[in-house]
Amino acid sequence: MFVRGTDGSAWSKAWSLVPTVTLHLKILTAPTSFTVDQMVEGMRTVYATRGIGVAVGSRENLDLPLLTDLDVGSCTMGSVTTEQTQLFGNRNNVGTNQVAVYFIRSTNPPSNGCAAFPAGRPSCVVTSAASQWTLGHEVGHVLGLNHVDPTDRLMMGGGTWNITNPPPDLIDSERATMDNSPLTPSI
Amino acid sequence: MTVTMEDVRRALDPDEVDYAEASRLGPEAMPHLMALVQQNDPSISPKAAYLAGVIESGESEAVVAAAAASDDARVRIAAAEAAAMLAPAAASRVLDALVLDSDAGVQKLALRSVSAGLSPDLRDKVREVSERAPSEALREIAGEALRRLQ
Repeated sequence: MFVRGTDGSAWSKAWSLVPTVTLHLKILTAPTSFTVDQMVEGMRTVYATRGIGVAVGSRENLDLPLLTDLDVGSCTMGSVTTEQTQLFGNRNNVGTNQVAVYFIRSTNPPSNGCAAFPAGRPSCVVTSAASQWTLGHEVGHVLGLNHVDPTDRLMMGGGTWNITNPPPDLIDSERATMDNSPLTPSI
Repeated sequence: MTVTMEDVRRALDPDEVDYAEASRLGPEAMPHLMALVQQNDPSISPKAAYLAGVIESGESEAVVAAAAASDDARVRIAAAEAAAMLAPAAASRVLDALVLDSDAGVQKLALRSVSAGLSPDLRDKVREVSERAPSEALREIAGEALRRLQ
């Protein structure tokens, strides 16, 4: 790409395409331990180590007081409750192959987040008591990643509050899974 | 098997808790669950309150009642959820204050936990919510709860 500066000089720059997940942030209740921006930054830091970009497509506040404490049932991938279906219907600005993230107050039963979503509506929820790494962890599930044991990894199953040696790691095989997801087009 | 606080934290710390698996800790977990509820920490106290309801124990009501008295709505919400798993008399006592809670989310979960067999006093309070709640959606949820009570 060539760009002409105000002094008439011409500049050129080459960009390479980067697999990128685009998030649309829907805030019902703001998190209390970290800000949404801190969570996004934390996620960007971790994903960047494996060459995955994180873009924020839009951000909006949703006034849905009876959905901010959300019934997530067993939080099983592919199986959602009536309330999840209702909440995930709020998809302003969310394009095909983009991810809607809903920041809610709590889940029923209590968890820090849940990545179960209905077919064709990639989504996850992050609760107000989440850690700095919960956002990246839940989106990791949406992109196809599973829990692992090592405590220094983003997808560790023992709780992201207990991550050791932060920022947490993603490994090559996880990168391949994320790269193969239709939710990380190269842009 | 002696259940330690470390065992309980290992079960409750995951971002997505498997409560069926966690309930295998059994009644020996109760003192630790009470301690976690009393910490009033939104990242762990709601999970402890809910697990106390899942585990069948003579101490479940005390733990859930302690959560119901929390000043953090997220902990009271967990108490309201857990009440659904208590015996009717205990559930009635826990839900008594929660159905009229000042927080709409707590009210919603408390009303969802209402089932047949609960106390007549509770029925009166549910009826009050069904008639006077400012939110139409909450009035509908209370109406459904009232039908379950009758």
